[in-house]
Amino acid sequence: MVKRERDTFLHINQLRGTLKKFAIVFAFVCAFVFMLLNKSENTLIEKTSGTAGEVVSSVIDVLVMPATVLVKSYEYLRSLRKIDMENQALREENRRLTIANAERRALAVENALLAQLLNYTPPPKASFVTAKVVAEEGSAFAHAVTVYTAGNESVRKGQVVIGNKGVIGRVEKTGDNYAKIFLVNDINSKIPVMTEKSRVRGVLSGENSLLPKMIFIPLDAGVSIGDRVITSGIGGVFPSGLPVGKVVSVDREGVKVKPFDNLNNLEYVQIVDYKLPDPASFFSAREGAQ
Amino acid sequence: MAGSWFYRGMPLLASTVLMLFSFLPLNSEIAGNAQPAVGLMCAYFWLVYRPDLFNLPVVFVYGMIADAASAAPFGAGLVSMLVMYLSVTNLIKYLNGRIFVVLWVGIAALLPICLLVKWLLLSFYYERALPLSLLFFSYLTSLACYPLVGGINAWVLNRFLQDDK
Repeated sequence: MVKRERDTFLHINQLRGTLKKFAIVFAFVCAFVFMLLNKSENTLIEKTSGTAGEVVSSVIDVLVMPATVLVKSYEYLRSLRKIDMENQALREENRRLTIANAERRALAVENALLAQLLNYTPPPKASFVTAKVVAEEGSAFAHAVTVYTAGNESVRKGQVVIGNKGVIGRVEKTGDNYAKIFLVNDINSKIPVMTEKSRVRGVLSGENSLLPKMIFIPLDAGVSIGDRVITSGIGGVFPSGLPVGKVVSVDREGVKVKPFDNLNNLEYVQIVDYKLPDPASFFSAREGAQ
Repeated sequence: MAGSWFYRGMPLLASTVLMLFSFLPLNSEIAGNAQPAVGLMCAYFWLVYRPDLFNLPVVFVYGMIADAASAAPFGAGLVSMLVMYLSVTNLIKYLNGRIFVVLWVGIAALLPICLLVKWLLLSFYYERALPLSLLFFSYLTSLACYPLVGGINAWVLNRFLQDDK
C-alpha cells in the first residue's frame, strides 16, 4: 500500500517536472508566435497591443502627474525673475511683427492674385491636434513617444507629427485617448525627403541610432554638410516642403541628418492632418473601379 | 496575508510600476537614447529573492505588459524576460542569499545575454543589425540604475513580504 502511494507520488512528481519543462518551451513558442503575428500585421495582435498600450499609457499618465506638478511649480518660480526682461523683449518683437504682418498681408494679396492668374490649385488646408507627450522610449530597440490625444477622432495612423521646428515622426498606433508615435530615428520610420537647395531626393530612414540616415540618393548627388532637408511629398503620405533637419555628416556610410527638433526634449507635439488621400485606399479604390 | 492576492501579486505590481516609471519623459539625452532595462532588472531581483511569487506565469504576464508598453515588436521583450527566467532559475544556487555586490555582478553578467538575445531577435525581425552602441549604453545605464531599482524592490520585499518567512 505504502509502496503504491510512493510510486504514485513519484509519478506525479515526474509529470510535474515534465509539465514544467514543457511550460517554458510553450512560453517561448508563444512569444515567437506573437512576433510572427506582429510581423504579418495581424489585426488581432494590433488591436490587443493597442488596447494594452492604451491601459499602460493611462497608468503612465497618472504616474507622471505628481512629477509634472513639481516641475511646473519649480519652473514657474524660476520664470518669475525673467518676466520683466521678457516683457521688454516681447514689446520690441511686437513692434517688429506688426510691420512684418502688414508686409505679409500685402504679399498674401499679391500671391492670391498670381495664383488666380496661373490657375493654381492650392493644397488642402491642414488641421492639427496638439498633444502632450506622456511617455518616451529610446533604446537600441525603439524610439517612440506616447501622446495624450484626449479622444480626438481626427488622429489617425500615418499622420505627420511636428515639433516646434520640424517633422519629428508619424502616428503609428491610435487608441481612445492615446497615440503612439514613431520618431524619425526609429527603425520603422521612412520619410521621402529632399535637400532644400540642390533638390536631391531620397528617403530619410531611421536606424534606431541617434541620427536618421538619408538613403537612396545618387553617389554624385553633391549633398554637403549643412544642407537643409525637407519632405519631398513623394508617396502622398507627407506633404512636401516640411522642414525635417540638416545634413551633419556625409561619408561612405551615408548621409546623416540631424532633426531640427531635439527628439529627447519633446513636451508637446502637433499631429497634423493634411487631408491627403490615403495611398493604399486610393489604389484599392482604383483597382476596384477597374 | 500570505495567501492573499495582494501578497502574491506584490512583486508583479511593484515591478510593473517601476517598469512604467522608466517610460516617463525625462527630457534627457541619456534616458532618451539609452533607456535602462528596468523590466529585466526587476525580474532578476524577484527571481532571485522570491522565485515562488515570481514564477513562470508571472514572468509571462510581466513580459506581455513590458511589450504592451514598448514600441518594439510584441513578443521580443517577452523572449528576453524568459531568457532571464531560464538563466536565473539555473543559477539560483550561486545567487541566493548572497550579498548585494554579488547580485550586482550577477545582473552585470546576465543582462548582456538577455539584451543580446533581444537584439539578435529584432535584428532578424527587421532584417538588419540594430545599433550595438546604444545597446551597450543601455547596459551601462541599467548597471548604474540597479542599486536604485534593487533598493526599491528590497524595500517592497521587506515592507510587505517579510512576515512570510
